Amino acid sequence: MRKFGKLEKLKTNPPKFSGSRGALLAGVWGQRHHGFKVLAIMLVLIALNLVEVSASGANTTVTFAVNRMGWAVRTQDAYLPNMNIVDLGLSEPQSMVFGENNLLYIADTGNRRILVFDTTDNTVFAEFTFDGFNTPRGVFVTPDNRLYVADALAGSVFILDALTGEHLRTHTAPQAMTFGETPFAPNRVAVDIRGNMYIVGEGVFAGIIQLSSEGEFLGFFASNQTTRTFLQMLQDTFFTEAQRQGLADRLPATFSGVTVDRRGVVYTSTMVATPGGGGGGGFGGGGGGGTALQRHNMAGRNTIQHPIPFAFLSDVHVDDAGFIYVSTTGGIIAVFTNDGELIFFFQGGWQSPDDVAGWFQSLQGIAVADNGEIWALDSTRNFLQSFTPTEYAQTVFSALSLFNSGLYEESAVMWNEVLRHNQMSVLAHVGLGRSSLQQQNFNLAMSSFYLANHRDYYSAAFWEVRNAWLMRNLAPILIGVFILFLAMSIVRNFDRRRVVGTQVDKIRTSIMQEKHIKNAMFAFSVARHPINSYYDMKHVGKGSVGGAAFHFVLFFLAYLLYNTSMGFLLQFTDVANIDFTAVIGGFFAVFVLFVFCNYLVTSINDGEGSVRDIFKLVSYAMFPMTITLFGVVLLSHIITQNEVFLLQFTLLFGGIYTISVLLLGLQEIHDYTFRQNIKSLLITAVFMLIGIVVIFNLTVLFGEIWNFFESIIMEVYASVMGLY
Amino acid sequence: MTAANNTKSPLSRIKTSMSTASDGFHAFLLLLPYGILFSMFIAIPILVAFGLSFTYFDLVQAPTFAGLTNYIALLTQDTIFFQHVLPNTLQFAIIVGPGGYMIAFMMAWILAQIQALPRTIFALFLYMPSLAPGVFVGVLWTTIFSGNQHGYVNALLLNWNLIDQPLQFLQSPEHLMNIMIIVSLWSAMGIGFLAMLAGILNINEELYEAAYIDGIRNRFQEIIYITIPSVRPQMLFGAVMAIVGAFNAGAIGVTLSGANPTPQNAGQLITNHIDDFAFIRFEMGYAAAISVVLLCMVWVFSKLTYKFFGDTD
Repeated sequence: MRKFGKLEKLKTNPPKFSGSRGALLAGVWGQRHHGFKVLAIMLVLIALNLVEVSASGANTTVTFAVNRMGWAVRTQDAYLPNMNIVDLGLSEPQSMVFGENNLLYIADTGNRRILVFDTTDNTVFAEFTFDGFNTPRGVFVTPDNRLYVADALAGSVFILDALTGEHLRTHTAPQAMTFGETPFAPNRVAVDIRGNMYIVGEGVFAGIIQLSSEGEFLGFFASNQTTRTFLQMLQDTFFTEAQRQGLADRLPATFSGVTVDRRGVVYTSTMVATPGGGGGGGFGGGGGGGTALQRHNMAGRNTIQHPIPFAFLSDVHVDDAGFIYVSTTGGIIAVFTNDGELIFFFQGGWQSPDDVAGWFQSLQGIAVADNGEIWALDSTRNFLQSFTPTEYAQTVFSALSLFNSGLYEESAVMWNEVLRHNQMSVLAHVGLGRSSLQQQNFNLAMSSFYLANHRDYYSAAFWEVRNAWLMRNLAPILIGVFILFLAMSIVRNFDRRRVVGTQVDKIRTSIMQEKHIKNAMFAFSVARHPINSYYDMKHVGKGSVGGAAFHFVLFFLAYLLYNTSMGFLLQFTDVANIDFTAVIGGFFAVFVLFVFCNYLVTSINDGEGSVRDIFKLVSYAMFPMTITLFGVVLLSHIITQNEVFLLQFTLLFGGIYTISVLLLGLQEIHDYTFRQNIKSLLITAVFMLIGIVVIFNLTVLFGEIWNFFESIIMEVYASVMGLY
Repeated sequence: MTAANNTKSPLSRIKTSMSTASDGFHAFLLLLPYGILFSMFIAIPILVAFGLSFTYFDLVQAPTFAGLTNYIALLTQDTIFFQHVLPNTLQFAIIVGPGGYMIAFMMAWILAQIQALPRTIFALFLYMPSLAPGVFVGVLWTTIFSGNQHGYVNALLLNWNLIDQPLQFLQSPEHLMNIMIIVSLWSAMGIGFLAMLAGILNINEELYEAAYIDGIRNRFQEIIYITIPSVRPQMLFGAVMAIVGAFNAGAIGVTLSGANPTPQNAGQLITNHIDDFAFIRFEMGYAAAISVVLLCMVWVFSKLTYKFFGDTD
């Protein structure tokens, strides 16, 4: 054991670089998860031109968090690169871990040693070598200062004293029958509070090898799932045994890192090719998204519900407060809450050829010090890099921790502090909302969740607000309804002779007899008795083009409202983001196309309806849908997710009703049988598609012609004006 | 109007008649058996429940008058009722009521198209679930949806590699309600189905022949123009039975999950809620208040049903 002198401290010296170099690996997609947009970030190479670091700016990395639409956006720096230590003489170091007194244990694989680095004064504390070391890849230090070293080629887990380096024990391949011929090549090791070892072995697909403190084999702990593609499913069904032999084995991805937190919970990271590719078997059977990061329960099942939006995770670390840190080989470091919710992630450039602090060639391992500093290890360029949390990050962490320990008011104060840094922080709005929820301040919670676009929580808060309102007003409303009911029956009783009633009836009939109102009201009878009403429309002349147009406009209004004015819980697109040209243009295009195409198709197929008939029939038929849409829009403002089924039923019922009326109407107007009707509708649909293509072509063509004449005119104008 | 006239005229005649007293006595005697049975088994229990709903009653001590406390508590404090029971009951009733009704009508119509012997056999099979609901649910469906790998559905899903561990169908809040709905739809062929089957079979065949002469061309038009108008009374009966049945269903969730309250109140219907308060917590007064609310709900919905199916135009 040798003591090293104080090493030279290399302070970060960020180079100036232009925006075009800052091509970052980050991308995002949104996906629906339990009816909700859950973020997912991955491998879209966005040439972000935002890394415009000035000479005075000290940061070479950028931090991202999730915005209210579920996209990763740049946010305040959470971590700043601090130390860059290159002269430790490391060779392909694979992993590292913090022990007591800020001692960092680095598995210096290439040099067959464990290097102990003291991060308080940045000196090398010790260097452990042992004859048995061959490829020491994984290290783990227990609270009682035992250093576990996983060595794949040596096929052993060595236990050393973490302070003196004295060899205490070696565990080799377990002899148990159940372990059988499984290769024992430990790559990583983690140890829980009872001394059980969790070993990631090379070439072991059955899962993590779990050994007791005495080295007995306890079983395979957890494994990644394989998914079957549709092609593979077909192969399984139709291939013979011999053909199947020729296929590649479908092996689950092996873990890249394993760790155990203070409470003894096991976490693993996995190198999966794509986020979401590592697992997600079946319906709800343990998280259907990216499972690159997993938190395991006693049975080894993954208990993280959020899809993890990263691929190629190289290491995982959990600090005492329960925050999960993961690294990707590409150089992203991400921080999650204990439930797997992304707090933020930061990264430098993508495998830059130059030496820039905070950028990595191959980020293999991370470790987090007690003071919150993240230390990261590059196994290709053999350097150590530390990152210091900023005030912003520390405020976020303390707010989350306070909330978890039940100090809701204090946590709210911290969240407000975070918002002072970053008004757009979704995490802060959600945190503030949850604090308010716990403090029964539901109105405030609602507005916070609205800002965070978090519909689940918003619904819960809204339920409480609505409930309070109902409690206050339900009794008066019920009494009011009862009195109204009573009053009506009293009037009816006194008016046995129908003196008043007849007058009312008279007024009503005189109103109803008015031509336009009669034409508009015809929609009611269409909805109630479609067959008879359409017969009357065709043969008796009931209904009018004006009435039909009125209902068409009404339906258009309902459609617009449905697109723009739903309650927050069901308005998934902000009004500002709606493409009105598409919404309105699409509506009219489909309607006009349908009427004309149906006319063209039916007129050569013995259909009896004219364009005018078809327009009337379709417009009147939309009446049930109009009512439904108005009702749904109103309903959407007062329901919570608890009652969303009401809305779905209303829409479903209205839709089926409208389509039935429409079908019966077409059948009646064209005097078709059911079969002829369906046939003509199918042809109409094809015809509409052709129509769309033709219109599209014509638009392009006329655009060209327009351009042609425009340029001629411009040319003439320019020469006449003598601009040349 | 005619009914009112008819009842009035004999009454006025009775008054002038010599044997008024004895006639009235005879009428009373004739009505007595029905009157006794009706009041004993229907009128009095409803009135007692109504009365109990204004009391606090724990089955041990005599009921004490509590005024509107129970109703106020139901409306203001019972979050389980508003958050789970009411939405669950509505969802269940809206799907199972009309859905089961439509299935029953379709089945009745299909059965009416085949020969007598197979029809009887099929009708018996279809009606079977209504004969022995508890047994069927207990044995059949709990086996099918059993939460271990031996449950049929789980075994199939595992076989097809769609899941990697058995799903707790009957214990998980996500699945229980759907299974309750499936089972209830399966056993929807109840008394309404029999009534509609009988109604369809009793339609005069000549009506169809006449309609075909008048220009009807297919089965669909047969149903619209002949079958439905002819079995309207039976359909009304079936609809009312379906609605009332859907609101009063409750045993199903508890039988399937084996617990009251059902897991996380996922399958808690209003009758379970009543059971919970009446026979588990022994708060009879409160349970009676919920029953009165249920009665009102059923009443309102059967009124609506009459509005939809009862009109003759």
